[in-house]
Amino acid sequence: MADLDALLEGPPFALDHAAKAALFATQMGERTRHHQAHCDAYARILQALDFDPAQDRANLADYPFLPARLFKLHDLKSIPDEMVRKQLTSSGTSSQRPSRIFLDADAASLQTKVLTRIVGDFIGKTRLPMLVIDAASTVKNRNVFSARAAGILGFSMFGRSPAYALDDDLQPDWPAIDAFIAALNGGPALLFGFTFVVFQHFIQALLQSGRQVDLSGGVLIHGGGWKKLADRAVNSPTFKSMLKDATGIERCHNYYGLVEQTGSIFMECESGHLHCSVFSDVVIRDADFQALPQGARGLVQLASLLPRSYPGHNLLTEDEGTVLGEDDCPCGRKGRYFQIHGRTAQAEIRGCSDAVSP
Amino acid sequence: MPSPLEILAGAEPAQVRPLPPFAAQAVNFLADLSADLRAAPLARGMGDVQTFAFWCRRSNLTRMVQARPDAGQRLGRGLAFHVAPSNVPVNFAFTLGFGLLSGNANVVRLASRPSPQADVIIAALCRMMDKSEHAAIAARTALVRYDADSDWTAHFSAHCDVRVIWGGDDTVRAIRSHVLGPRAIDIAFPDRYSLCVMAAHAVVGLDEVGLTRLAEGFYNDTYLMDQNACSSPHLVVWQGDGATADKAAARFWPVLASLAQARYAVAPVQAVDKYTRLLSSAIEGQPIAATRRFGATLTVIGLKGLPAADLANLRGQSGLFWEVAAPDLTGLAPLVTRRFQTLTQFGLEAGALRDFVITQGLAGIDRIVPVGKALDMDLVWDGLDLVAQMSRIIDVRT
Repeated sequence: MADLDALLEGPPFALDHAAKAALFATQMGERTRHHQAHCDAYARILQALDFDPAQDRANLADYPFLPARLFKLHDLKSIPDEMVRKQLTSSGTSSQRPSRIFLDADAASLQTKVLTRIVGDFIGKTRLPMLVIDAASTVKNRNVFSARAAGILGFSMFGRSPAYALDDDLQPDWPAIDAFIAALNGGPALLFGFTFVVFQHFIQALLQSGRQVDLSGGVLIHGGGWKKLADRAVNSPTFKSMLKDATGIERCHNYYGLVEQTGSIFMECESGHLHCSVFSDVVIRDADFQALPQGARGLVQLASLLPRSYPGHNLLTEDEGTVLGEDDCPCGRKGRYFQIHGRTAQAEIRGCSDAVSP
Repeated sequence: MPSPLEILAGAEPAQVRPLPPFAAQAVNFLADLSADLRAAPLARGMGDVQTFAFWCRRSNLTRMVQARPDAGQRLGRGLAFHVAPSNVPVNFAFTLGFGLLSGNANVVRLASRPSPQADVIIAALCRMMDKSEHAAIAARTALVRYDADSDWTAHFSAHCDVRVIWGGDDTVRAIRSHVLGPRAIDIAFPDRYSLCVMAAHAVVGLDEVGLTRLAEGFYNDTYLMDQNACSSPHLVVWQGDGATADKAAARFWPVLASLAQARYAVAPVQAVDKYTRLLSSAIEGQPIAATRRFGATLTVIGLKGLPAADLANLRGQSGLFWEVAAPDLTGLAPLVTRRFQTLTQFGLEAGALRDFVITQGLAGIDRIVPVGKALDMDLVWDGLDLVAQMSRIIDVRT
């Protein structure tokens, strides 16, 4: 993994189009061959797609991708069972089996390193006092990690001695919040939580309580999706302005990512764009799976250099997004930047086998 | 009953004295309904509504009467209670038609999800029932909606003479948990599986017009219902040697693809569904020989041979098919389970196919129709003569 070591040495948003395209063209070839050799199911998929990975392709978009949903249907791994150190699961909906992602020791440590590099670029290297907008009980089970627990634990390394802002009923834990603010004494802080939890159980709860909370030196990082908030017509600007009203916080970064590609997340910059780091890239496709040009809306495909213990390096999501630009974001970061519009619409399928519930 | 019963048309039948099959009241009612629907401006663009109206046009009803010389020795069972499926919008109208023609009073429960097709047909039914000449039918017919968790299913189940359940296996099981009266019977239409057999040499021999007509028929059998109707085929068996089968497939699929691309809108999520299905089959170890993909519209998974396990697992939706070449159908026989319903065919002799089903004693396949006729509903369905099922014989011996 010399290639990744070199990338971990350098800045995480430094590669421009030419360098990045060349990197992913060769690295995706290597990953495809790696998983073909180590995951029988993946090898059978390549066969069904009539894809021979012996030769590198010219572009990332030329490589086969798996639907992220496949990880909800099958256990896919490229390591022997005895090498599995950690298992990640997506939160999933109640009707579905969650995704199951298998990590060996290397994969787990690599996720941490990459996450550190990416997030450090936004909040600096100093470990700040940290307030987790969740309950401590969310992270209790140490062996099977929910995406929410994994996120909290992953981000906890950016903070010092994290405090939890919510009690087990997800109500504000006022003594904990007050103690955190008192110790802060107006200084900088890191807040982290899941978008919906932050909104409903923190921002709204604070506003309803009428209490004055001053966290104006803080920076909030949040992720996990907008679906529940979109249902309530809350978008990113509304979220930010309510956050400021409730806490005084002006620095707020949403992040986007898949549990299947934990580590190589996409952070929202000061201009409100989600950025690919040197570890990841994005392709937008239409329903025919043709790659679309910048500015077009379509299905989001995400590539990550990290997954080696399971074939999750190139995944088609069911989110719709648009690539907004490349190398020219006002924030100065190189690479593609994009926006997510939300889940693609469910189709109503006709037919007689799915009938009325009695 | 605390939960309300919404009556969309007619009235809860108070008087359920049976009529003979094809009684003049019922035939006239359906024929007038047909004429009304064929003239209704709102129904004009609705292919499935027109299909129903065409089915119950007077000349077709006359044909049905003539095909049933024993109708005069029969009477309807009494009250028929129908549970219609949620996602075949016009099915409720067909099942009502079956109940009327077999001489029954009818309560038809519609799915809670409304549809423009149902609205159009219900409006026409209301217009018919308002006419004095149809008062008798109006008094013995009700189209209803009610909450799934209400007691109405139990109520109608206890009082009906025949219960007609359309829907998947789960629906059938759930409705059957409600007890019928001792003399009442169930007619259930659970999940079924259908396939298509085409003679490869016949497809190779088609001219362009014939090929397009065949593809249109296949399109109508499948895409019109998202390939999710019980009678829509999932598997195409090319009967012939490998080389001829290849030739036939290479001619047929591109024509189907271009037809479907012009007519069938695929949502991105359907494209992901199909792709996921393809990759899942590879993971599950299906003997995949080759895959044909025509954008989002059509995916065909070619098998090296018939799988040893249950064929009915080879399912697709929204334009995902399986294909296999077979020199003859004998290999198919042990794989046909009771789940199999329709065999659509092209280029074969229908009578020979029926002989095949009967002589081999197949557990399934109760319908053999030409490609293009898979969705055609009629009084014989799922292997059942519905008029016979829904009526009783007055057996006279001297």
